[in-house]
Amino acid sequence: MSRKSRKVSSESLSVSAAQKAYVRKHLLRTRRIRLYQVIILIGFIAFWEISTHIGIVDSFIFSSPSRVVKTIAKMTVDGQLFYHIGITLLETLISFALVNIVGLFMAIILWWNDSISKVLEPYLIVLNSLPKSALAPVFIVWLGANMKTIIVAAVSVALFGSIITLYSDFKAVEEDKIKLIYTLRGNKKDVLLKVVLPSNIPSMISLMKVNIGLSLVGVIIGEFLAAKAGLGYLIIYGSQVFRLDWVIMSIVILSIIATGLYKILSFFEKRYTK
Amino acid sequence: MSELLRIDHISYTYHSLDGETPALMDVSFHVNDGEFLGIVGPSGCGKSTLLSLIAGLLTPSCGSIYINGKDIKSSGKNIGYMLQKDHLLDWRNTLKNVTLGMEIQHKLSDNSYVQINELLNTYGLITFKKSFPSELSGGMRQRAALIRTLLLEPDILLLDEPFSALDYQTRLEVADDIWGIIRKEKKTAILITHDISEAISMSDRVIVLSNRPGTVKQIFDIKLSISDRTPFTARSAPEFREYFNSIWKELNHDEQEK
Repeated sequence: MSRKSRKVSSESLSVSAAQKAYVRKHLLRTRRIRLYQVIILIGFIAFWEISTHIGIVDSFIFSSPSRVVKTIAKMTVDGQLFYHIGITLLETLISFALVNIVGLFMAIILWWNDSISKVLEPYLIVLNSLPKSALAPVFIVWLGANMKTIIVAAVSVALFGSIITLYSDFKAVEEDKIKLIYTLRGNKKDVLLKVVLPSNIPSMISLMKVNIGLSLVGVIIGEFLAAKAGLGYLIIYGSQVFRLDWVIMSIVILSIIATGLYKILSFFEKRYTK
Repeated sequence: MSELLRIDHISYTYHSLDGETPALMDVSFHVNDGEFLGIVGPSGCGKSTLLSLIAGLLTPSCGSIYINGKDIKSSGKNIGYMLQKDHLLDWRNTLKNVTLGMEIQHKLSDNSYVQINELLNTYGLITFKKSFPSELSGGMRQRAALIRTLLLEPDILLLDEPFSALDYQTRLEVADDIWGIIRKEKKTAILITHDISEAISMSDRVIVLSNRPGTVKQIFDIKLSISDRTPFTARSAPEFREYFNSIWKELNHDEQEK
């Protein structure tokens, strides 16, 4: 039997007028969306600034965009800002790394040994559903009011969910793909290295996107309770001494950091999944 | 033709908390060197279990399997197994996919690439060496899966409904392809299928299994009076219908007994 030829129909390179119109319409729409987004931001900032000036709200309690900018400028000059940002970032990145490494390691152990996973299952569920902020005071007593406590608190926020998610993803690998490795005379290690881990890279990256956010949350909770530096410390201290400029500034910077870290991981995700 | 594989009174039972399910009962047959053996049977008759037993993925509840007169575990012979789907790994390109087995068995050396390229070239995949599975057609994927198995130099090839996931036209094409490759490489093969025509068109002998628990009901020697036999031309052989009807009757007879 002659093999049927698979001809690819050559696509016409000339673009019709209707297509051009469609593309133009799409671009216009995208531009309009962007415009509204900017308008909302500028409008909000302007409204805030103006209302503090004409006395609708008290800038002592609500701060104001100009005061925030001034505070940022002042703290940039004396270097304090970078110090606090640096501390928070460092704690976040250490916690994030620990969550991912320990989480992956634990998930592999649970996947490898069914009995261990069955035995540990109820404990994992309890630890995962427990509000971790309840544990923070305990960590302070055990570990002291220092960076160690903050990192342990942050790790505890993200770790257990991470283990459970990874483990169930590992378990969801197609049964026949595992059989394939065995038909090629592979062993359990080959199943792990050739199928389970590589097939789960996309889910690991999306889990990392969740973990980076949770690590930041954990670090801020920890800093509220046990820090002498960092953005969380700045927020809690600022609110106690009525320096609302510090509080608002820290929140603004936190939202920038959170978005930035998320974007970095999205970039890797896109590169990996193409 | 000398005998290569002997299945000697094997039975297999699955155990679960709901009870035990006998899948195979006292199955015996043999396969000659270089033979293409087809096995047909109703769904759930333990066909796949049989292949898993031969491949050594399962151990028979009783009975033994011999290759060249030696027990399968100690024979040191390689058995290639093709699953229902190609199961190429999405994150590996064609070259990386076909070398998966060699990688696992630590057989991959610089010298092996000569042989790999030769096979890829012969079976029309050389230009797709760097392509990922999503870019290959169903037939190409199936050929890549076969090359992956062939590179391990199996003495016996087990085919577990390898075409069932393909549409009908591709299926005829790929069956011709795969059959040609197996004949050319002079491999012994066991094909499992529920498609009677497929079994007759490809095999030298066809074994009919009964309903669960599967036993050998009948063995048909397929002798077709055509020159230049391929699975496709076999379908137009005068004896084809006769074989089809007898096997069909054998299978249906089983249904009525139930």
